[in-house]
Amino acid sequence: MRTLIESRNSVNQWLERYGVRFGVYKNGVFNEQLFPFDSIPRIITHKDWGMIETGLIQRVKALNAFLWDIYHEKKIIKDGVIPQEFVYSSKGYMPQCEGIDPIGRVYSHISGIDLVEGKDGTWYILEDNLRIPSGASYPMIAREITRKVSPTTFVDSKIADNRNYAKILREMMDSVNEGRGINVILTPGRYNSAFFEHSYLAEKTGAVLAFPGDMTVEDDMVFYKGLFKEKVRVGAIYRRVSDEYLDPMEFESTSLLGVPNLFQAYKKGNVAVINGFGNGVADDKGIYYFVPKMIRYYLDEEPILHNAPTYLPYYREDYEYILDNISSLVIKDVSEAGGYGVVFGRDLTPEKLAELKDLIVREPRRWIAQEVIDFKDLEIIEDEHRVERKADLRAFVVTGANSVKVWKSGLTRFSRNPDSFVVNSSQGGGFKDTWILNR
Amino acid sequence: MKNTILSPAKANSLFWLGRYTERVYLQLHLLRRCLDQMIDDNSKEYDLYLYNIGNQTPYPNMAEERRGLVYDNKNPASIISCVERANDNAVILRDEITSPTLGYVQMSLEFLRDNSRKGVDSSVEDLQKLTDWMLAFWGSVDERIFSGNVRSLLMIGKLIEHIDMYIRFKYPFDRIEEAFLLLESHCRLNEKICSIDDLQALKMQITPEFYNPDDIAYTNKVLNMLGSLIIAGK
Repeated sequence: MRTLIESRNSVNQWLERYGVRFGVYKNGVFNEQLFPFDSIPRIITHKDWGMIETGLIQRVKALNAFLWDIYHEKKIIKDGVIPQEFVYSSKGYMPQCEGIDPIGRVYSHISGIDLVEGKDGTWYILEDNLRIPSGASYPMIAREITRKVSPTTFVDSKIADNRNYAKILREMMDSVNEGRGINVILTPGRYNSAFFEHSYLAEKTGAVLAFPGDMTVEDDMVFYKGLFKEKVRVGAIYRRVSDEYLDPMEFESTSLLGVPNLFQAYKKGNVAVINGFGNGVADDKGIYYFVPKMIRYYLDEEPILHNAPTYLPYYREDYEYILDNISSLVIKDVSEAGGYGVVFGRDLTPEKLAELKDLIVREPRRWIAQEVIDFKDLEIIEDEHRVERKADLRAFVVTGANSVKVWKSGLTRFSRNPDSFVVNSSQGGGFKDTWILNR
Repeated sequence: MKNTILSPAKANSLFWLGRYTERVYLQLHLLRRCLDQMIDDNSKEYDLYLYNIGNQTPYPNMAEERRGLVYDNKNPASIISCVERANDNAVILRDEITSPTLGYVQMSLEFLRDNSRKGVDSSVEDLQKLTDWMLAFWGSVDERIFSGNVRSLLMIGKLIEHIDMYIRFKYPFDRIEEAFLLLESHCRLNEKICSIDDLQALKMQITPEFYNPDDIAYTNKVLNMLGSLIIAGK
């Protein structure tokens, strides 16, 4: 352990060597940054992990059931569990997806679920990411490197081996591909903030890394265009391009990032799209409030993992509570992501609080409010000293045609700013390895 | 099993990755040779180096110029610019060339950027690291890449750059010929990648009788022919 901590600079040098970076646009200029690694791992006990794993599987099963229901029978709306305006006014709801049956009824093949551990040891779900959650590649490569620089740390197998993510991903892709053709990972290009991840996952899964323009649709089937004008059928596309840019014939007509007519091929069941179209309706911050209800509704089970205490201004009681207690709550804009649109009431001046209240009054559907969870700080090394910082955990749940698996690892992100709860890499955070204990 | 289909864009990047890594290796070698000759006050050799690498950036003095030729990323003839271009191509090819292979280009770039930030002067001894990494890059290609098309495109790019630089620097005919024979064998094995007719036409120019690197018209003609050998993806 001591050796690993002492070797942190060496780990970061290896990360630099392998080009482990993420891109950030600031004032219109693209810059690539290293994602700083801290060598003190987050350790999750075998017992805690058992509970987290079961809870995550339960949650993702319910979310996939919700997506199928919303685009088909809408029973959850008809039965009054979720008000219809939360579904149909969500930016992520796509009417084009009505009636489409994705292979295995899987919409969210790769779910990135953000959790935090409270100081009392309770784990809370902060957010579900069901569109294109990123981040798995960082702990993947970090473990490869930490095993290299400090092999003795891993000798007695107490720590679950997490080097199987690519295999889990590959098996999932194959299960929904059903032998139709090759697997590809579609990237918007090297100036995307997560391009390292796209290229690394392609390398590790053996999928072809495809760029905009590399694929074509003919007779409602997708083909990858080769150097010698040959075309090879594509069976599964792990897309890292947002829904609205994925098919200019169906969605944003000016998009150059997608594949024209891909949606038609998807609709006909001729290609698996990972994650499916229209998932945004289920990871909307407003819908988050209803996930425990979904679990009870679809699975007839009590939720194992808790949501952070959340209030919806849509409900009168919550609305009044939020306006009365705004200075102690965290307010989130449901349409934002990546740590943006998150405001802590306690940080605002009375004038700004009044402005925020006005916004909530005017557009109650746009906001949610949560109690500030005093989540457990994790130690990091800062300038040769151990200091404590806020950290979260993004767990990855992979759903294939016949199985749901939780990767025994995850991305632990921490804030480098001692006063901040925001851990996103785009906001200057770093990451740690996540050790799941085998016993 | 890994799929071996290659897009025209990736093929293009492989070709240019081969060219730029060879350019870096040879430019370092030629710079070192030039600096060695300057110990004996052979400034003509230095001017020839500037001309042959296509340097068009003026610098206020020789010290600045020496530094600029390595670290000035605004000068397309500098070593760092060549490594930047190699990296631009390599970074989108991770799934084809593997992370360890890409790592040698990334390390080279980080080394140069770091030196540039710190204002480190260019010393021949320091730059040996770059040479070692370029050689390691090719060793890694040989060790880790099994796709015939990927290997061929890299190798054809490398050999075209090699011949191009040798002609610019007026290497003797036998040195050009041995590289050309190797290029020819790669092209003949990859008739879909290279134009065999163009190769044949080029071969007619690279003979002891015709070879004349002092003749600018001849040099331009041969370099243009070399540059248009690749037909795949066009």
